[in-house]
Amino acid sequence: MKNTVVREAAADIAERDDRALVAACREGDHSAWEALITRYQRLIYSIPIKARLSQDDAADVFQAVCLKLYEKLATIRDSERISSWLITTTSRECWRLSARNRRESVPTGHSDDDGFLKEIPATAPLADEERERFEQQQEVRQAVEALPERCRELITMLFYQKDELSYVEIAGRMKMPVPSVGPTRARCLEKLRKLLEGRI
Amino acid sequence: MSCPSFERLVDFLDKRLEEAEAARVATHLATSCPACAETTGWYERVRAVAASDDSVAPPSWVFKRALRIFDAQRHKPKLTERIGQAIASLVFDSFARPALAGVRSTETSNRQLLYRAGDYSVDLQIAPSEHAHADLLGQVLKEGEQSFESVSGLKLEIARGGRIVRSAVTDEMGEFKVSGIEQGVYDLRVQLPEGSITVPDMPVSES
Repeated sequence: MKNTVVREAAADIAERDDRALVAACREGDHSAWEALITRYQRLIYSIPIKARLSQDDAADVFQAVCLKLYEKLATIRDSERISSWLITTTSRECWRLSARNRRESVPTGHSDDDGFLKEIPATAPLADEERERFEQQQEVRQAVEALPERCRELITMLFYQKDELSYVEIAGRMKMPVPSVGPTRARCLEKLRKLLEGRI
Repeated sequence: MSCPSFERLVDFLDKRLEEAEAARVATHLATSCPACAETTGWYERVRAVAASDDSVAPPSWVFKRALRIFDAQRHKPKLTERIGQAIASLVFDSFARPALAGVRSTETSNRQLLYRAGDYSVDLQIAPSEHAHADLLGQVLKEGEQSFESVSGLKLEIARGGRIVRSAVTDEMGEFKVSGIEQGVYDLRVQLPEGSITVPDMPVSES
């Protein structure tokens, strides 16, 4: 029973859009902050991991970006896309940390002029296409999260499971008759399509 | 053949249809039906995006530490409480340094002033121009911040005798410029999101 309540609360949070969550955070609603971090945790943490920072550094980047997000809450504009702002801010933090690590690893007796720091990229480390991929993955994840529980479970199984499952296996896991899998999937995909309208 | 149902189309794309049925759907798609092409395109795009998603969730301690930011920051005094209507104090004036006797300065005749209020500093350079006017160049900085995030897009007002005579907005580096201002003493007010900093009696002059 308790789990059902928690899941319903999670679904409710997934449906609340960013604007509502930011407004609730400004009002001091801790659950809205938790929902924001839950929503964007994979996006924020994956950028330093993909940039090949260590897990400790990735954890530092995550904390620094969340702190910046908190500070940003007061001035964030309605039209501003949080995911886009987070990608820029996180990649800057990665760059800053990498630059610091390289500076610290310059052997003593050498100065910057020796070229040890020349490899540091001068611009944000994310290429446009990589940035777009992060944004689209976030859009789809977020839409799947906003689906009703059964649909979320089914679509996650179909889209995010590495091994492709047969309808019989899906029916077994979902505890539903095999002939229901196809129509249920179609209904869930229609819902997903509606959620992603104008986005993907 | 009329358009296959959404369910059938998706089954076709996922290769879950029997051969004869798949052939029928393929024949329909070969007619370039715009509605089916749109559905097919959407499904394949979304499936490809999801398949490419190798994102990683942070360890739970990292997640929980980030959750604590909310309460920790809320219990900290706000910027308005720390700065409020803060008056900046002068910490450096290039014209206040004594010139060495007999030595002609090679430095520019621009006057440099540095003010500080809390974590913020306001760096000003006053360049005299013709007819007792001057150009005012400045930069607002926040200590420890390398991204200029808190100092970009800030509104500034320059007042004389309580009347606002000029205004400006800081750029993405926190810099601003006010050209051709009449030399004299002004108050400069920098509007922060949750407070303001006033630089009182700012001397826009050479002496």
